[in-house]
Amino acid sequence: MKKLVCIWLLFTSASIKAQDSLYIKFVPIFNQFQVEPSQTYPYLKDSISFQSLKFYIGHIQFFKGEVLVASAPETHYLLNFEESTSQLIGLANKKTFDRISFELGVDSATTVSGALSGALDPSLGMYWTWQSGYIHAKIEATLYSKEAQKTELILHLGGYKQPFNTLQKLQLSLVQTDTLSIGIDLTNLISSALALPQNQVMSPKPEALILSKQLANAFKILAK
Amino acid sequence: MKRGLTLGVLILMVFLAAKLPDKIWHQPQHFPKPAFNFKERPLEMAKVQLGRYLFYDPILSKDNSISCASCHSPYNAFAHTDHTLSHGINDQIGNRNAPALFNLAWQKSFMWDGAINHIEVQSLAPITHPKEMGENLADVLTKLRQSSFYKSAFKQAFGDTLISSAQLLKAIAQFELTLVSANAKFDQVIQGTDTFSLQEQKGLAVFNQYCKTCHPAPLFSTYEFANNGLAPDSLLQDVGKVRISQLAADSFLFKVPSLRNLTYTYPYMHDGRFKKLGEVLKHYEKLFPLTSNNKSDLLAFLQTLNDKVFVFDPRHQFPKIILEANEGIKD
Ligand code: HEC
Ligand code: HEC
Repeated sequence: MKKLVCIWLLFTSASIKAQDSLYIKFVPIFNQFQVEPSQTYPYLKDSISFQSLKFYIGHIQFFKGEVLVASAPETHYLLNFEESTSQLIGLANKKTFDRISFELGVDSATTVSGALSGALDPSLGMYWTWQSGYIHAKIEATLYSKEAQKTELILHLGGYKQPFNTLQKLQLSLVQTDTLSIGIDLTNLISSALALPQNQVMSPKPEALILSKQLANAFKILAK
Repeated sequence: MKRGLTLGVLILMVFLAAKLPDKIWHQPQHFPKPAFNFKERPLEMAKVQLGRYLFYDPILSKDNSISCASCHSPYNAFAHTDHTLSHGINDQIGNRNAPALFNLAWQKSFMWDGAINHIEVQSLAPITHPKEMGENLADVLTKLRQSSFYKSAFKQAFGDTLISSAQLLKAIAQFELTLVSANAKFDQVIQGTDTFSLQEQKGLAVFNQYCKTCHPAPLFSTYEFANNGLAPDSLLQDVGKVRISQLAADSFLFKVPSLRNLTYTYPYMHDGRFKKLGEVLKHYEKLFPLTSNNKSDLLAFLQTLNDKVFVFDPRHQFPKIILEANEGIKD
């Protein structure tokens, strides 16, 4: 199977000149493979495929030491690995930085401010309609087992109110490069989710909190 | 110099007058400050009108059969009285009684369990609920974009023909925010233009003794969550706010409804279990030592909260213009 191939995500418009641009790419990984839609990956004695992988990334900021040097132009980006493979996230002014911070999900201040558009449009399938709130991360997978029936894993992780505010704040130290590769290694998260008595988590509750923390730990800067 | 100043003031006045919206919404003097931020999101006539069209238009439902008004009728203070539980597409029965809609600008959360945090996102729930309108947002937007009527109404309201989900949701909310009930006899008494009868006065005293904590004037609700001692319905198994918060302390808590317009909004409670106010008071007898005199006085007082001006306000009623607009649509 393929090694880590880039999945590019759009950060800003095409007006950025290549030389002074910074790109971020997010790469979902499972069991050391880069995840692609409708592919099947080995898992213990079974195999697994991913139907849906969508994440909200919010308030991306770049720091040099303790100093904030740049912020992403949009407050929120929706990473959708079901779709295209050819988009870039870019920052126009390249500054020197050694740390990046961002949120996984949509913060509560944003969540209580009515009907929003762009990446936060509620028609994008990342908004619960029967109760207010964004789904911070959506992971849908199927486990095919030789012995047992297939298992549908549905994780709609969200929640903006305490005690189940599942928003995660991440900080990653790094060595600056023109393209930052951030891996999202889903292996541990998937095995925890499969170990739950119920393989479907679709509302803010303790399981959502635990899995969200685990998902936050899955984000790692990838070596070049 | 002086002339220049006068001219400047004149120009400013003309400018202000042009900016000033028709009186779509005003703060009733005896009401508290609304929860909705009108400064940040002022009402505009074209948006309110668009919202009104959408509210009454079955185009928002999967089979073009059910509108918001099917469950929220203007003559029932925007509640629904034919059924105890709501009634959606394909004659499906929902799990809850459709609440009356008024004074929504003062509510911090919506639905019987507070599931919704902002009026602008409330419509997402009925539009996508399989037992209500059963639609998805993308299909609604496609239908609206095919309608020349809506293309021009959205253009007037928002300055473009994008017809986005945010625009759709904001317009419906703007209409709903104009539904203000502040013209009942009670309000007139407060403003000094009417007086209570002796019985109504006695009823007010009983009300102040037992009901005021959860149903305080002038909104007649705290819009907080409470348990008023109803036995849980064994069939519906509705647990109330805990469904949303997952906190055991919220079990069987429901949003306190306003007591305005009760004559129009029967049946009562989240599951519509009581058809008559007499039954409601009979229930409250279990909690409070209400004599039969207390009860008839209380009923007399509750009548003073009926707001006929609001219920029959032509500005809130069915906009006939959408009949023409929908001529092209087949079910
Ligand atoms: C099939 C019937 C039905 C339809 C159609 C319907 N509603 Fe409702 N509505 C309800 C019910 C039932 C509730 C209470 C739901 C709950 O508490 O879970 C409700 C609640 C509401 C509330 C919250 C009121 C409050 O006091 O908390 C608003 C606002 C509202 N509806 C507006 C609308 C709008 C706008 C539409 C059209 C887009 C609509 N409804 C369509 C049945 C309906
Ligand atoms: C502890 C708070 C509390 C007190 C005190 C209280 N209520 Fe209520 N009331 C509620 C709640 C909560 C509901 C909704 C319950 C539900 O549907 O499950 C309600 C519902 C009602 C309704 C139904 C309204 C509708 O639209 O469905 C009426 C009428 C009513 N109360 C009248 C009264 C009267 C009269 C008194 C005083 C005798 C009173 N209440 C005292 C909390 C209270």
